[in-house]
Amino acid sequence: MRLLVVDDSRVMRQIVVRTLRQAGYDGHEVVEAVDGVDALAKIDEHAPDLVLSDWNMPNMTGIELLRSLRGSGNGIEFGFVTSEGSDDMREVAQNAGARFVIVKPFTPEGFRDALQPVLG
Amino acid sequence: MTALAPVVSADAVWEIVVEIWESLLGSPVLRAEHAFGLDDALTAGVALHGGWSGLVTVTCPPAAADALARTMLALDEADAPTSEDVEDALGEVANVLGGNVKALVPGAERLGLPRVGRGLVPAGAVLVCRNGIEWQDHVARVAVWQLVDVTSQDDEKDGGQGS
Repeated sequence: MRLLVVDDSRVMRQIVVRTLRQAGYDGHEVVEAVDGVDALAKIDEHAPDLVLSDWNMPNMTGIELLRSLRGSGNGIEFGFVTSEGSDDMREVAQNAGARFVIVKPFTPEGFRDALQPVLG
Repeated sequence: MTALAPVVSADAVWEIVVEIWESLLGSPVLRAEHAFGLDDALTAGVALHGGWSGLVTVTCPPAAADALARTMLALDEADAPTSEDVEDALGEVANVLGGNVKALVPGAERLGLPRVGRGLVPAGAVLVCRNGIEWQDHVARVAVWQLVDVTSQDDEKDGGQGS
């Protein structure tokens, strides 16, 4: 499978990719994007199977990205990896079509719990 | 500078610090106040806005910021982080701190993007709580500030100094 990791922080993108490997998901191709706008272009170009996106980013936020995808009929699997995990945000994410919200700081176990239903 | 009645306690913020250092840095931390020079210290901060407005900051000497970046990027001994990487790493620590503090503060509705530099704390900010951090051979401070005079947000002064 192909995964798209979206975060404006290069350091955090690298940590997410490393944590994916530690969680046992090391056989998947990973593509990176720096914000929602870049993610839309990378989704067009690479057709990933799952998007792991930060919420708070310049240019286009994660929730704007998700709403843009769903608004154009794209039902790609989508989860947030974000520093904010309030009940309100989880509800907003779920209502917009996100499968899960992983809150930073995270652990490989947290990744496995969230990704297992999607990636197996 | 007088601390306000805390909307979030230093103990609660410390629990977040411990989690972040363990998760992002793979390192235990000690709660300890150490003096360090603020002239060349780096501060990363994220703003919280809404019914309650404030800042969450992490301030440390340049060597500690380098160490954060080196660990977060899993660099080899021979590789030095770029200044962009150092600012990115410190900003991301502030971002994660800010997101978790936001969940504890009633009225904090929106999280800003991280900013990194020297002197990020506005003149209208009053210290809410602060923790000193020691890990390996490095030190840092994490602080929560309340903006009590939003008209002076652009009037910046040195970050990291508290009561």
